[in-house]
Amino acid sequence: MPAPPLSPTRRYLPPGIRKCYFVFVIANYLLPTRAELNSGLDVSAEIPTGGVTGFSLQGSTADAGDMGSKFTSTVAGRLTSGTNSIDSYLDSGDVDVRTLLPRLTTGNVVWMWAGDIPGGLMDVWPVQVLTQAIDPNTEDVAKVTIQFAATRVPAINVRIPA
Amino acid sequence: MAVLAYHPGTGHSVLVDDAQLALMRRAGWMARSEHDEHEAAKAAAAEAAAQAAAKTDAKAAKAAGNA
Repeated sequence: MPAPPLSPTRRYLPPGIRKCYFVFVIANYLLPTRAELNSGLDVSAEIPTGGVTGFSLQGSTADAGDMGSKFTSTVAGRLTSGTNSIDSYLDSGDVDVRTLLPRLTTGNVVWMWAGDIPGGLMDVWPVQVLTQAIDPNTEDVAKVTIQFAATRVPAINVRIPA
Repeated sequence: MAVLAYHPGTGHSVLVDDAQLALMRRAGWMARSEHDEHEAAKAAAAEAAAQAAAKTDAKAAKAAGNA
């Protein structure tokens, strides 16, 4: 018998579905509570198309060759996350993400990939705000790039609490 | 100005500035001092109600004793 196929996916386009919350305090970021998620602010609707960079892990390998073979085997090495940033539109009255996330603010960026649906999967990134960089281009809608440092290994594929 | 923000739903506190707290209020955050004042007022109201109830009970007992 051949291997059975994976169940067909119900595919979706993220805009209007994906959620990004900034949550100031989570006692155990590996297991956030619903009350903690609700104490965050939903910034999804302020993120322009293509306005997210990073928030993914890169793995490296370490060579583990030996004298018994010419093949150099590898083992899992360090995990890194390069540049993590989120763009956000600016408010003409200056009440926008710059006010919410001044430099050195600590908290958690929570990505709910298929929306805030209990039982679904989310990633929780403990972060610190590094910079706010306003786009100097005058021909585009005004926006700012908030760059984050990932301060701990992110919690990946955590179940969204009810 | 820095202010200690408090979230009654989670019990968490975090030091933020005034402008940040203004935005965080929509998610239920408040200044810790506001929360403490609110709790003190609630406790005072509960104590006043208990005292009033005790007074009413004493009056009723006296009336029953006179009857």
